[in-house]
Amino acid sequence: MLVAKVGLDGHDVGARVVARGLLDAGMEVIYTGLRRTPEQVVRAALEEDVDVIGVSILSGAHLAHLLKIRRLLDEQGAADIRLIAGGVIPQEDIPSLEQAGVSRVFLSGTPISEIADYVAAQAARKVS
Amino acid sequence: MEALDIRRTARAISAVENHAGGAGEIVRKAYRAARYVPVVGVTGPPGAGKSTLVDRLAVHWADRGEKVAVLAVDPTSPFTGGAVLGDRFRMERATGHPLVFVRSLASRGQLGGLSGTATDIVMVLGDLGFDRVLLETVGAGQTDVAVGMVADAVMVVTVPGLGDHIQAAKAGILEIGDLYAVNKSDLAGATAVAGHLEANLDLVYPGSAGRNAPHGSGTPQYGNPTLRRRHGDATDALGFWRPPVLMARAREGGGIDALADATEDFLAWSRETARYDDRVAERLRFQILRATQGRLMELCLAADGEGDVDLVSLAGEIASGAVSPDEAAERLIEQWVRRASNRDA
Amino acid sequence: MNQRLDANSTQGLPAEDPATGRVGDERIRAEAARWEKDAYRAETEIHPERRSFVTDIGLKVNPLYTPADLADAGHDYLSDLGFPGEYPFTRGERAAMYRTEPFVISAYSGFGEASECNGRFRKLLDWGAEQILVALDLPTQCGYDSDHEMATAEVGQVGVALSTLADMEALFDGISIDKVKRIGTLGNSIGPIVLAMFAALGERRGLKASEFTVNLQNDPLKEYIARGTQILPAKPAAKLASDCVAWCVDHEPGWSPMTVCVNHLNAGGAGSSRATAIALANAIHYIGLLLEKGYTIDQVAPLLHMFADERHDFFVIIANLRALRRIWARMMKERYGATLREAMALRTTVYGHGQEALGEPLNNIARTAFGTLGYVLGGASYVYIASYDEAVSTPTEDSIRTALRTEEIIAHEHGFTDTIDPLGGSYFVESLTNRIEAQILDALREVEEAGGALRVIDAGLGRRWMTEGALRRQRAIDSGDRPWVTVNLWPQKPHVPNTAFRIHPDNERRQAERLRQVRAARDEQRVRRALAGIDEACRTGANMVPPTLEAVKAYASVGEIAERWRRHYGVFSPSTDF
Ligand SMILES: Nc1nc2c(ncn2[C@@H]2O[C@H](COP(=O)(O)OP(=O)(O)OP(=O)(O)O)[C@@H](O)[C@H]2O)c(=O)[nH]1
Ligand SMILES: [Mg+2]
Repeated sequence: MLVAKVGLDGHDVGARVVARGLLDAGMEVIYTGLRRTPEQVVRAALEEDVDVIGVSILSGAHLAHLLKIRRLLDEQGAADIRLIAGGVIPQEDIPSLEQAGVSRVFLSGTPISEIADYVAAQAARKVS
Repeated sequence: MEALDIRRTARAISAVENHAGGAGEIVRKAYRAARYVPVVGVTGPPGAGKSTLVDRLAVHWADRGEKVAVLAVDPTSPFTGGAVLGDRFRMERATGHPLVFVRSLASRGQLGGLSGTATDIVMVLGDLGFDRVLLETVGAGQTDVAVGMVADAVMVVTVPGLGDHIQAAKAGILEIGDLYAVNKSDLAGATAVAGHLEANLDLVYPGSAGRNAPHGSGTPQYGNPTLRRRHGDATDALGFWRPPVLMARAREGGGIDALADATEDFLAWSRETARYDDRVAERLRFQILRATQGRLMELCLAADGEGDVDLVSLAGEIASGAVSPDEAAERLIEQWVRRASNRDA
Repeated sequence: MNQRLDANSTQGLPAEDPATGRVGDERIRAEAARWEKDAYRAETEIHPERRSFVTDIGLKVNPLYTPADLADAGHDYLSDLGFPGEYPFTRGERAAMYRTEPFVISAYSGFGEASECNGRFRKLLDWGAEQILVALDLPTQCGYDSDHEMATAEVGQVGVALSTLADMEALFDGISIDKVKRIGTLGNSIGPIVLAMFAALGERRGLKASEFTVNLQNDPLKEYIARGTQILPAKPAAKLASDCVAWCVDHEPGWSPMTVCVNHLNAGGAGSSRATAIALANAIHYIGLLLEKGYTIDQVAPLLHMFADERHDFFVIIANLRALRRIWARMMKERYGATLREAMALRTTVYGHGQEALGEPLNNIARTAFGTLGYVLGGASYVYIASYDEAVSTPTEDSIRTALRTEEIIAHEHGFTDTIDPLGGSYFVESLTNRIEAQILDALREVEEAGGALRVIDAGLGRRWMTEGALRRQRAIDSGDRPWVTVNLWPQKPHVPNTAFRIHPDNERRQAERLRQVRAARDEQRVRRALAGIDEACRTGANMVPPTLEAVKAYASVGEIAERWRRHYGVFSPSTDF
């Protein structure tokens, strides 16, 4: 699982709490740290062969960044890597994100166990 | 220059790491291809700047046209089985370089330790066309010993400000280095650390840093058999190697060329004196033992419970003080042997 | 104190003090213990307490507080409280407090591109805002121009884009900055640039420095652990920030060039006491730099403010502010030997929050109103308030007006501000104030023992406190220990409503266009000379504000100036720990 912060948004408590929750659930977690570009995130995801990329965005720039990550993944033959988004994302953006290949949106306030279950299910799907 | 096949490489590593189906074939093919590429291990205490140094070294070699794979090993939590894989984002230059592939590995506390899987992964990387592998491990507990088992050249990184240098000696770090890097030499105390290291090396090695001509008879020989196997001893006709101590400022990129050159020099010397071949042979023997251990366990577990011996009741017997774990293992193995010979009969 | 006491229970205890007529503390303690056992426990054995009553900062709240609690805390009225406007300033930083003028009604606002944002500012002033703090977009805060690659999709998003002085001029077009109580911005990692921009704006308007007041946050050190707009390594960043203070001491001593922040540290999970301790350590670091340069504490301290923060527990808000003023006063006097009243009387900035939720956002009006009221009862000087939709996006016009009106209601209705420090003397609030003071000082000792502000960043103590606290909060919410309406009580599915404010889709283009025009029209040679002046100050360590002012006036951009710094000082590499 790769937990990523893209763009300039510097609020990463949410991302860190999620990363820690997944770690406690027994996963191998990579946290990118702040200010990554979509290119860096995708390269890391490919090299690390992760099952899921979780992007945390609180700055309102979510659409552009998420779409770019999805596009880069698909271009590089990694359509199977699931992309999920977390943070504050308005309802009306969710359908267009889902349409563009973001598998799930977890809004701030979602219990971590729910996210952990989802990620575990994706990893299992890939193995079997 | 052909670009890296990132996806394929990543998948192959995952397969080996997870012992997934298909891993066996990938590994067998790699050993048959027998493309042994130099493996440079970088180890040292937490926060010494290993990742920063690896970042610089990877780019150094990649800029010279080599395809470089970096493996960064992080410990797995024994409590949750989870792991924090944080090194790659310390490698800002390497992770963007077209000829560098960076992969994090969790140690996972597996049988045979990190070195078993890592050696297989290194072989696979060679087969996939990489020209060099850099391996970062934290020098604590057993992993530093393991890195000596996987790498062709081990670079031990120390820094000023760690306090007690006896501690380093105790941790066995002075027994595994083919080279020593004193990183953060921009900070106060670096020369003292280097002096201290040299003084410690003086106790073991005659001669000066790097290649040495034979010192002839009469020169004291030094103790540790592993070091002697790897570095030769004073009377060796082919000469011997004394690990050099080099200063580095990884964050600014200072001292990197010299470190890379010294590494190359050691690898060259090691090959010229056939010490390298010994090292590879030792590694392969270890791999056989590891595979044997794994296979034996599999077989015993498969036989588990088919006769009168099974794990659960054995554990009960140990708990009640009837047998020791060694005796229990003995019985498990005997059961498998019996079963195997019955089948043959 | 003359409730009738049960005759049986008071046997053998001292009776009323004949001189004062007061019931002795011993007797009250015994009575309180009796009540707790016979009355309170008796009842709660049948009907158990709803939950464990523990504040976010980990202090337990008792069922009842009595004078005995004050006695236990060694409470001494004259030395612990004193009087408003007098040492140790527990009861207020000024003598008359809100009876002459209520707190300064302040608005933090900014979005899109400067001329679009200007319209919003004018409305805020119409609605009664007395201070405007400009919210800048992330590229600007991080030292990138709007046309830089890193600015993609972020221009004007969480604040207004500010690349050159031309943007600043457009932003305040038609607004008399001398009629507003204060103007300013955060500019934590670009302090000298924003200070220079405001100074240059005043100069363009023909105003003397004393005719308007600039307030900056300019507190880079907390960015490394909490907020994330850091550019340079922490050490040079702190140096540049302290340059702003030094420059104001020399040129504009009435300005407020630094507000040391607790808020982001607390919001990030540290909890208000530990966050306050880290902020104090940061203040100590900045002050140290200024004293090293030869300034005196009496010159420096009056220009510093603190941005206090607590958003979970109402009474902790009040106690934290009071404790903070007392700690500051004692620190200035005892540690630094300050003699001026202004150096010891801490002015506090606050931002009224509650546990704002994403769903049913109107509920946040109640939450932020209570949060703000707490600060007012604690005697804050400059008061901001979160808009109800702030957790979701840049506030809309409606929500920001409601927020300002809420402040005005607190300032003028209900009698909230009629007497000074109305909760002073409350058994609960005073004992909480003392306990919080002790908690902050303990944490500060821990930070200083770990090596102070810079080491806390390096060694990760700050991040560890934040992550621990954030996890604890998350667990308290998941388990229901921390009740939260619509989240764990009457839970609603998380939902971000569509009312979210959207900036004009065209603004990235308009901003880039203005930047292009500025670059085309400016005197390039003057820009080059000015930027060389910045290189020079990087090399010599001279105060960065004068060359930055020169560069800003030559219409050099934020990105161009920050790039010089990056080249000289290097950049900070973010931590990947969690
Ligand atoms: N002063 C100084 N700091 C350095 C130097 N090299 C690295 N560092 C800093 O040391 C810290 C740790 O560097 P890393 O490369 O992550 O160290 P590491 O040994 O890989 O750490 P772990 O993987 O966590 O054990 C970082 O803040 C680096 O910037 C150097 O030459 N001088
Ligand atoms: Mg590392």
